Amino acid sequence: MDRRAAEELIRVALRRDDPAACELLWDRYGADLLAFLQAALCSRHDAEDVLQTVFLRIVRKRRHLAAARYLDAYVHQIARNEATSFLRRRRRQKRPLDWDPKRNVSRLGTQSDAQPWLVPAEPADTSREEAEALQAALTRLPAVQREIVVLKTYKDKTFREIAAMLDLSLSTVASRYRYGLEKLRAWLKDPES
Amino acid sequence: MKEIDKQLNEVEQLLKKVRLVEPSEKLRAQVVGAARETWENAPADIPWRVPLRHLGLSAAAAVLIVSCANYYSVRTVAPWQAGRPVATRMAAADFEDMPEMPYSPFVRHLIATCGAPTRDASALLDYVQSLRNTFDGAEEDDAADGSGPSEHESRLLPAGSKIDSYV
Repeated sequence: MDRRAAEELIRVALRRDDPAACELLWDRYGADLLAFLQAALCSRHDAEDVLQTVFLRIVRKRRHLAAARYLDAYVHQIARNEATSFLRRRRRQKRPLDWDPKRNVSRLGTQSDAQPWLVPAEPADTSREEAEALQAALTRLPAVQREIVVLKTYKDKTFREIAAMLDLSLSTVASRYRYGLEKLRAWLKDPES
Repeated sequence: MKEIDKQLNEVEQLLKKVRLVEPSEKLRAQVVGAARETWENAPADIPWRVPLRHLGLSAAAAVLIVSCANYYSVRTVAPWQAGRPVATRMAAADFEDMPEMPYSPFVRHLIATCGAPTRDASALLDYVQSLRNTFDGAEEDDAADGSGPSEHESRLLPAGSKIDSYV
């Protein structure tokens, strides 16, 4: 279904206060939000947990959502806020063990999470080690660049769509994507750099 | 430039070797089920209530701050306000025993009206008028006695008297 048509259906269901909007919201945003949360949290398990919280939040704010000008931006802003709150809570709880103050990043996504959030596209073609190296390199990226790289590469979103989803300008999205790829290139060439 | 673009394309191709884990049907059922349950049980946030709640909280905070400031300011200045009077009240002078008091009716009037509330404009006007009447009466008394000073003479020292006569 066309993106605009799907959004219009959601708006109509929200205005009618029809619970069927939950399914429509899932069909339109479920996969995108999970990808976004995996990129933000670097963890499949955490992303699934937070996704449920995001949907509950959306349901509570359904009247705001019905009145929102850009559904994409509104929904992703809720997801971003929930992801930020989740990371803050986790840092407070597990900071002594899992916080890397030198790089100011959480290492939870790379070390503590048993479930990988990136898997080989063609298991016969790509080894598990290669997939882990790519996941580790992506995890090292700053979240703002990682989210854009993930959405562009794995969800085939255009820069324009990403800009609308994240409420950013087109040039910001493009430059963050490029900086992200340059860093990945350097790290994949020399993982110790 | 082209070399960098080529390298970035290679990175993109490398990234394509992995993919994200797609949401499972189980996850879908779980998330949508929880969302439906919340939809049916919990009331939705009403947009206009949010600014109203913020306004209420701000007003409550302002009242609290002002009350605290008031309370602590009163507490701070209390030691200077609650002390006992340092001087005893002076006994009223017996003006009847002072034969040389000039304008004695005026002074008597002042004593009589001392402490009278003159807070509104009409009372103040009455008070000024009564003062004027008293003052005019005192001058008339002096003129009748013939002891009053002439126009350009001092009222404190009668004309022709020496300062030694008062010592």
